[in-house]
Amino acid sequence: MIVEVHNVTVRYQGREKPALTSVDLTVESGELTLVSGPSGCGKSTLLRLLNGLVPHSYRTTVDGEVLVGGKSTAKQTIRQISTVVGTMLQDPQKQIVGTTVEADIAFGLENSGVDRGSIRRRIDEVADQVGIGHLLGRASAELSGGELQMVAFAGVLAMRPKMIVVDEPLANLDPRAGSRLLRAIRAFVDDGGAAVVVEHRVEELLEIRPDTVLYLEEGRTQYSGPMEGFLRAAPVGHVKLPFEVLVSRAAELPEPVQPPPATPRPGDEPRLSFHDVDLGYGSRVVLRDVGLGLAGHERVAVLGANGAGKSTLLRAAVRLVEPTRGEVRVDGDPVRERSILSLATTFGYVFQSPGQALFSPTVAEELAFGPRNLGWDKKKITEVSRTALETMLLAEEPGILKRPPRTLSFGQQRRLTVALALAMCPRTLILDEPTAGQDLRTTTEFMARVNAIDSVESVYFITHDVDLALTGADRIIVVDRGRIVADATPVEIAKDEGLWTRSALRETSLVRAARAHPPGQRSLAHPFALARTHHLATSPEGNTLR
Amino acid sequence: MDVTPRYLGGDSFLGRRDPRVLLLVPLLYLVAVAGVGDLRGVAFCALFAFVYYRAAGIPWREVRKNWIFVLGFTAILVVVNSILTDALTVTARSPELFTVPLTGSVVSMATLSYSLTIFIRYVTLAMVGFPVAFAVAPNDMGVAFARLGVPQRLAYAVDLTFRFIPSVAASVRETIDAQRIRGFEHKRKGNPLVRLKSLKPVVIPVTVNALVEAEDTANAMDLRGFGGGRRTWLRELSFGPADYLVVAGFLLLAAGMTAAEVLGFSEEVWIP
Repeated sequence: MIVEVHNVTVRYQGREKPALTSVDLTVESGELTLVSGPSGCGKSTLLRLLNGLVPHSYRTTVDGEVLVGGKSTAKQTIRQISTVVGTMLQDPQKQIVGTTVEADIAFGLENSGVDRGSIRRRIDEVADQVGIGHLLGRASAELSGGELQMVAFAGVLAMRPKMIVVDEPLANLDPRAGSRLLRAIRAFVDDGGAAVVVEHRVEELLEIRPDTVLYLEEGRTQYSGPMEGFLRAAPVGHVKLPFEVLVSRAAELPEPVQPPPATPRPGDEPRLSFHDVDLGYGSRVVLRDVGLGLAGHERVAVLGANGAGKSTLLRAAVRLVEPTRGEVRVDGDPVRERSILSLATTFGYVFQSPGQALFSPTVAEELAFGPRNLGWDKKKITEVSRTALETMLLAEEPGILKRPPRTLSFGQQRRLTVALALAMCPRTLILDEPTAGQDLRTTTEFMARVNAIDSVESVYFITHDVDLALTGADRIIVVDRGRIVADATPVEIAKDEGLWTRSALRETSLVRAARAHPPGQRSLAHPFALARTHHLATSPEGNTLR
Repeated sequence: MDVTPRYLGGDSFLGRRDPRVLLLVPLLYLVAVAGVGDLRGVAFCALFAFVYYRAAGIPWREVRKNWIFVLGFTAILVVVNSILTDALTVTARSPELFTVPLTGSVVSMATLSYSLTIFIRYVTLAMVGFPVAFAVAPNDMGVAFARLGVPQRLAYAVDLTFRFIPSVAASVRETIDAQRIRGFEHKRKGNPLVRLKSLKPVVIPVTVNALVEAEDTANAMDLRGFGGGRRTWLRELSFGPADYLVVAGFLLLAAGMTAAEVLGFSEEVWIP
């Protein structure tokens, strides 16, 4: 056994509730284990337990036994453990420390005092293995998210660990880049290594055939065993399961809550329109030949791979990006005639990371910042703040207005950033990657809340998550390599088979299922409703019923 | 604002040198010019600095803005300290040329000579310093410091600084954008304290995020065995004949100018 975890309970100092309770896990060579569960279920703590950060870097109490390479992790240093267990963090930006690709791959070997000749040989070896030989001389700062992830992986492999632990490999990657990394992990395991992958997107992980699954909720094991059993037992709605599994478990699916589709009103000026526009930064053009009109009453998803130009497109609405050619109009008027601040009452732009917005000592002051800049009086500020908190279901949180924003949970912080935008009373919300790195249940709840806001006429959101675009929008604009390559309803997008082969998008089981959807409808039914329809159409009972 | 470190040395004479040469030369040059009060002495040193700077092959258009800043800042510093006020004392006596209105500072030929000496000293120090910023490959910095005897952890911190400057710059840009849409504007005029306070919406998120991310990076480094025993540096540095020649040239300059100062040849202000 490479790793043995026996009846382990972990408590962080200062917290009453254990992060893990009585968890068991064993991993041997040639085994790929998937650890899954909703946010806060203890996945990250388990990962830290395997690589030694718990107990060596985090103040914790650990009961039970954790053995790596046959020895207790408590009796080994992190450095010793790292020769057996290699770790890939969720965000490769934080993991890569070398200024060049070559320097980063060499980092671990340099720290181990390996001689230069051997380091060079191993760099070439792992670069070949993961297919990044062409990147070796490049500066780390110039790499895309997918390339960074592969470099981080090569840096871990260079140390020749027996096992790798990988934290949410798909959280920051578009589907194609994610798939490339997953295949590399599978190849490592097939060559005699072992891997523990923490991920809640079960469907994507099926591609690399995990041998076992450990499913956690609130720090406790809910399932441990082979994948087939997990697909039958996994709580639907908590993790992302393949559509075929939803169909086979149609009887258990809860009634989905789906907001009615937003309907564009005939004769309305487009809220946001692009007229022969090129967009970019300085001399670098990111998006070319954009001609689009987004209505005042519709839900639009801007879908594409990382770096395709999605954010650039919608940032032009609030003048964070200026066109290098053509004209952008808001409600029929050129956007250049409006100030960024005045545009905040038309578009509430919510950035991906809540941490970029929060700076005030209290939630009340954070909420007041934007309205105060608009010159609104104290009474109005109090009123819009209260309404924004109520809308985002934060008003019930005890003492919320006096709390420092950063003491809220990550999910609450994300809802607060939407409240900050709502406090400026926009008519359209623009959300940049609203659900990146969140589990399915949180994603579903968040989007349902946003779509239910009465004061907002339209929602435009940027995402690389194909299923989110299909289920959360009435219209999808696909951006690929700096151009708009498709603009249609979710059903039409799913049915355009050529799009999925010629763009950087990757087909999911929901895309395939959506092709059977009746034409003419703007939005796609909720996956649960769709699964029930498929079940009825294909099962003998369904045929009888019909 | 692009703050990404730019490597502009390319295949120039200095670009091919051992990076330790580029770190040592500014120190030696500082020793050479530190005590020189004679304009002729500092002009002699400036010749070395100029030839050295040209050998770095840094394209003018790439550093024009940096030079405008250096020349402007130095000129203001010198004029304010030695002409407008008496902050820099000139002991040598020479006939008065004019008196500065308002401040009443007396300007003589000695004052002008000394001011020019100081100006050349600062500008040539920048001249020998520029190759450190623009002609040392970012991934050579850490190993160069380590091989000069700086502790490994500190030396690697230099490498890390270069690695994360682009990330921090991106985070600053993103945070400014996130706050601009809420009405943030950086005040460029008025009370400096109020201007500083107005930066809170950017400075606080950038700092807090950097601290949080630094913890993850520190963990990632621990997990790759950083900070243990002996460390190998993949980049091998070796002094060649040209490296020795450059260092020896500046060593001689430093020794010569120090000797001239001790013997009283270069300490006095030169009055033409």
